[in-house]
Amino acid sequence: MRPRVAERIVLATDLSEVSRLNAWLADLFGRARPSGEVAEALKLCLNEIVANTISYAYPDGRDGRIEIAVEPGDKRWRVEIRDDGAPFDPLAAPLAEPIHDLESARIGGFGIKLFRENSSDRRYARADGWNVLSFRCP
Amino acid sequence: MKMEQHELDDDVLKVVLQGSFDIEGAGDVDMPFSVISGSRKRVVVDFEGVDFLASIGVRVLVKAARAMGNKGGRMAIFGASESAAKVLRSTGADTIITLAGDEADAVAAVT
Repeated sequence: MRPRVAERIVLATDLSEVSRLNAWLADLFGRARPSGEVAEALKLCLNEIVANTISYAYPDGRDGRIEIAVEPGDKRWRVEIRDDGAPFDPLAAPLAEPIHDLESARIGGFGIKLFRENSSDRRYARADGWNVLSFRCP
Repeated sequence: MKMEQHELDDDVLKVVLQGSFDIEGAGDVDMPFSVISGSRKRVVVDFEGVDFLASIGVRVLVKAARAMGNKGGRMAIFGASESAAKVLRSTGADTIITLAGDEADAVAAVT
């Protein structure tokens, strides 16, 4: 029987926290044993959203807080990410065009695209100074 | 993330990566890839030991491939997992970096 209680982690807004997130995910995957598809999608989505939040949501350099709750499921896992950074709706952000050739190749901006391609049932709200993003993987 | 470099025939450099190409891994290899792309034109990257690829890793690879491509060079990747290959295809990185099935095909793509 897989656990149904949401697993939680709180991250500081320092890029080194992404490594702590991935260690936490490895431990969670070891206990809850998701399918390869769920594990890959979840790790990719969380890495992209968290790295994006830490990099851009605190332009004033203040310390922030990112709260993650992951609820295992049989086929799809549910995720909620809250941060107290600047308002940003990743569901409304324009998607980066894929690279077509050497001349026009952009080197970044693909994180939101990968998140949206590997998640479903996405919702965003801004509430009481917090960005609240929820989705399912895959 | 660990990186090893091996000289092959025909002035081809083989780069072997081991670990997660997440934000920490990208930080480990960003500078070495910049040095490589500034000095080499034929590079194959062994991805067999890469267990995760995030967009920050694609950024490192595309930056290097673009620098090499602008001087007539080429980069190829072999041994990528299906999930890493999916990320490379989704971003279009595979249009400027050859995704090869094995080392021989990768070497053929850059020579």
